[in-house]
This record gives sequence, structure tokens and C-alpha cells, in this order.
Amino acid sequence: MAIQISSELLDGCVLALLKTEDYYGYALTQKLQAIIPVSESTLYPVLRRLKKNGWVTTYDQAYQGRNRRYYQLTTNGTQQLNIIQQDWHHFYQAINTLLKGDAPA
Amino acid sequence: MTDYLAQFTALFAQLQPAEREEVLEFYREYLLDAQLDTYAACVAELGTPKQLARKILADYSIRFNENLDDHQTTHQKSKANIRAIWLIGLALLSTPITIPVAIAVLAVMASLGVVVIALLFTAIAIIVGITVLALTSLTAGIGVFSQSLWTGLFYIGAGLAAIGAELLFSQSSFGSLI
Repeated sequence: MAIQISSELLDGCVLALLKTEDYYGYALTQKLQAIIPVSESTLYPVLRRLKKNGWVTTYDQAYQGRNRRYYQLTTNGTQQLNIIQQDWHHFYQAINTLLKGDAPA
Repeated sequence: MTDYLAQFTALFAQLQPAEREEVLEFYREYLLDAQLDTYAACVAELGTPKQLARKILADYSIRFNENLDDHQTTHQKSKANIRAIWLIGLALLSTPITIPVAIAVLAVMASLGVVVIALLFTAIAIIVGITVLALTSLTAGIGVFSQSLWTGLFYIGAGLAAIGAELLFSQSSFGSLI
């Protein structure tokens, strides 16, 4: 796919995944990669940004003698997800109008 | 995997210890979960430690600037900008291919510096030159005063006029400094 996913959209995708359940880093990467082509190394900066903005929180859970850090959606994160969904809806419609050649003359 | 993470950590010396620890923890957990034991397997998944570090550091430097735009002073901003420049410089140096680019950037910056210094020297030389000429004229005027009144007056006048013009000029261009 030649189209690059912008960081806003990537934020939205991650927030949307976290809406259904909490994930740890590797599982989240796998889940995303099953649907969109993102590189393994891009997710850390995304998660760091989401956490810094207060859209997700983290908690650690013991797993086989080590910790797994889980990411959880916050109330602010849910609001942000709604904003991104709306933005995307408008953007999608606008691009579709142009791509289909339906733009008013 | 240990080797991979050790190399990776070494590239984050300029980050805060807490930040560094968090980045490292994230990727350690990731590699354990992905069950990648060998160095080669880690590289196949995440790229070489340098490539991975470059991606993360580039992201940091961009966000430094974003945060600064909100609420920090110009001084802090310029400090962080310098930091960002350093990070980008280090990122450039992290692969052999980009080293020539870094050298070219440095060379351009150095040559700009030389140009500025050269212009300053030129300005100083012009000022000194005019002053010497005016003083010579003044001295010559006084010297020939006893032999020829008018020639003497002409040279004294020319010298004083030149010094006066210079003072006026410097007043207007460096007025704020004097």
C-alpha cells in the first residue's frame, strides 16, 4: 500500500483497539499489523505520545517471572478517539468526492 | 538479544535515565514476547540497533519542539532546539551513508561563519583606513601651514571633514551600541 498512515490516524487506530481490551506492546503490534502495514518499530513512539497526552495509562502485570506493561484507554482517550473518528469521517468523504471525480465544477 | 539491547541502550546516552529505561523496557518486553533470541532475529524484526535508535530519537527531537511551542520561554526553546540539532546530528552520524551529509552540513555552517567574520574584518579595515587617511591629511595640513596657508587649510579641512563624516556614520549605524 503506497499510502502512508499519518500519526493522527495511527493514534486513532491504537485508541480504537484499546477500546475493546487492554493490550501489551507486542500483542498490540501484532493486532495492528494483522490489519494495516505498520513497522514493528513505530509503535513505541505512538504509545509514548498517547501516554503523555493522557489518552492511555499503563499498568504492569507479572508474566513468567517478568513484567508485561499493559496499555489502557482513559476517559480523555475515549474523547480523543471520538474526535479522530469525526475528523476521519470528514476527510474520508472529502477525498472520496475528489477521487470519484464528483467534485462540483 | 542481550547484545542487541546493550548496543541499543548505548545509543540513548543523551536521553533522561527514566526515559532511557522506559524505551529499553518496552523493547526488552517486546523481544521476549516475540521470542526472538538471536541477534540476527532481533535485527530482522526491528532493524539494527542504530536504525531503531534513529527512528526513536528522531521522534523525540520533533516532539521536543512541539511541546516547547506551548508554554516555554525563548531561552529554553533555543536550548531545546540546540538539543534537537544535536540529536539529528547524532542520528546522521549513526549510519556510514549519512556521514558525508553530516560533513557537508558542517562545511556549509563553517563557511557561513567565515563569511560573517570576513565581512566584520572588512568593515573594521574600512573604518581604520579612513581614520588613518584623515589623520595623515590633518598632520600634513599642519605641516605645510607655515609654507602655504591655503594648502594647509585645505588639508586640515579635508582631514576634519573625513573624521566628522566617519563619526556621523558610526553614530547612525552603531548608535545603539555607543
